[in-house]
Amino acid sequence: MILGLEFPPIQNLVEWPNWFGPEGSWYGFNKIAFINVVALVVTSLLFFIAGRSKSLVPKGAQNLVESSVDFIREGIVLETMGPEGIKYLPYLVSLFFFILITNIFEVIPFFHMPANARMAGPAVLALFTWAFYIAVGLKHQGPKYFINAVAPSGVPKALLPLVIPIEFLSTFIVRPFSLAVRLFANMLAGHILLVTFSVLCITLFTASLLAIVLPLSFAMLVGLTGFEIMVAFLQAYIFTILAAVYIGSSLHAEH
Amino acid sequence: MSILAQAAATAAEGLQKADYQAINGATNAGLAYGLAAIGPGIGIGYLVGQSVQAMARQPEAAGMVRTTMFLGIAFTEALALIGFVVFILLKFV
Amino acid sequence: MLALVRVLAEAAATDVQGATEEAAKNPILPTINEMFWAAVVFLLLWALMKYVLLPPITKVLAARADAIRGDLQAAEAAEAQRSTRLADYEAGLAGARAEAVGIIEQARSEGDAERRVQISAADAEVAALRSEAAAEIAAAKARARTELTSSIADIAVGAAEAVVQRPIDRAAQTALVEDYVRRSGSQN
Repeated sequence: MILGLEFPPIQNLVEWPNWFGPEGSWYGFNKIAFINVVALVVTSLLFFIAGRSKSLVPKGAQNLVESSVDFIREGIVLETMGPEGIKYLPYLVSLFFFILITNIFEVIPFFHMPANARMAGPAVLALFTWAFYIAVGLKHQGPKYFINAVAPSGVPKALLPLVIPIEFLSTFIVRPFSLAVRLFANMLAGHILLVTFSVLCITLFTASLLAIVLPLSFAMLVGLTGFEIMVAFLQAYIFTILAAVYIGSSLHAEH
Repeated sequence: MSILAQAAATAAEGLQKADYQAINGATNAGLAYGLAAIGPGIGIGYLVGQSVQAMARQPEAAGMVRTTMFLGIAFTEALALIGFVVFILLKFV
Repeated sequence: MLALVRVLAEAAATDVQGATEEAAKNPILPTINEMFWAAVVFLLLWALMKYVLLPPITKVLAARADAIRGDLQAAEAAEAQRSTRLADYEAGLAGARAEAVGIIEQARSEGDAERRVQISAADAEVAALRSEAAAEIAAAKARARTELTSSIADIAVGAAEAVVQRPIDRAAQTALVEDYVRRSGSQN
């Protein structure tokens, strides 16, 4: 306020008007939806190009896609689920690329908006993952899945009234909620951080003496941009590996 | 916090009810996020330190330790992030 | 946390009532249109990934893994073949070396025997030569001594005759000279 620092209201940072469709309608298409579509197109193109060239020594898009798929298979699926989790690879690869690309729009010029800084994307992905691991549990363990999930074997009978509500809450409520909130809050925090330093840079771009702080502020902005690229990757990785862990825990009854 | 808010209110004349709410919201939001960040900060520091120790003692298990470390960070960090969401709620809603 | 849950519950309630205006003001609540588009796009991506995009990649990866495994196996087979060949070669080498050592030993023992025979033959020859030479020397010495004896006796007798002007008993003088020669010969 000393500087006349005008921090925009948060609605202006994250809410975007519809490009078509009336406001509040279920099909209104705005910037967030556009970023989601771009993520779909970019992922499809990458995989399409990578799938067409079958050279033994990969390079370019092929290298990127193949090393990513290999990373997800070796580092996530085999690490958390073992070889029987390979059949869930398509779901996890889609999750990873969708989240990564929608996140990375945080630092891409002219967009500067992570689609996951809106609750909608993370909520949808968390709901899908929730439905996915429940479906896997039902498929592999039958209706006993719900009993196995809330009452781990080896717990004394006297403790069951305490354990069952806790396990039910943690498995069916907290898991999807924390999945969604983790991704959403990380991206929103990063977005607000970048906006804060951008606003600071713009405000400091004056003829007054305070302009000497500008280089520091700008250096911070550049550094945070790099940091946010790392966060975008890390959040995609963490969402994917947590989804894999949850799916893996549905494969077998807990011991 | 209401004492702070009242002090601020007496300092500035002619504040409306919405201004009181904004002041209360801002102070509470700062406090909420600050408190929420303490525990996860300690937790993540301890977790990563122990993971580094484990990796140094057994470098051949580094891959497994790293995966588990990220999982642990994700779980620990969730608390701080919920604090951040509460901050947004208190500050902007 | 409680505040969050309360706000979420309230927002859900207002959503159910259809009063989306209040919910849209809240920056952390999902909006229905964004959820719709995210769901559509993600489901599309998942289906594409499962049936179109991922199979070629996994196929290429599997082919590469197979190729690498095949190459590794070929390399291992070649390695095994190499090591057996090396073992064969080393066994052959060891045999040849033993044979060579045997031959050398045999040659050395043969050479030793030959040399010993040669040396003994040479020794015998040398001994024969030496005894022959010694006999010759002894004969020459005896001959010389008899010649010397007679000539010294003659000279001594002649000289004595010239000194005493009368013949001297040759036999007695000869005995004297012989005695002298024997003594001087023994001094030699």
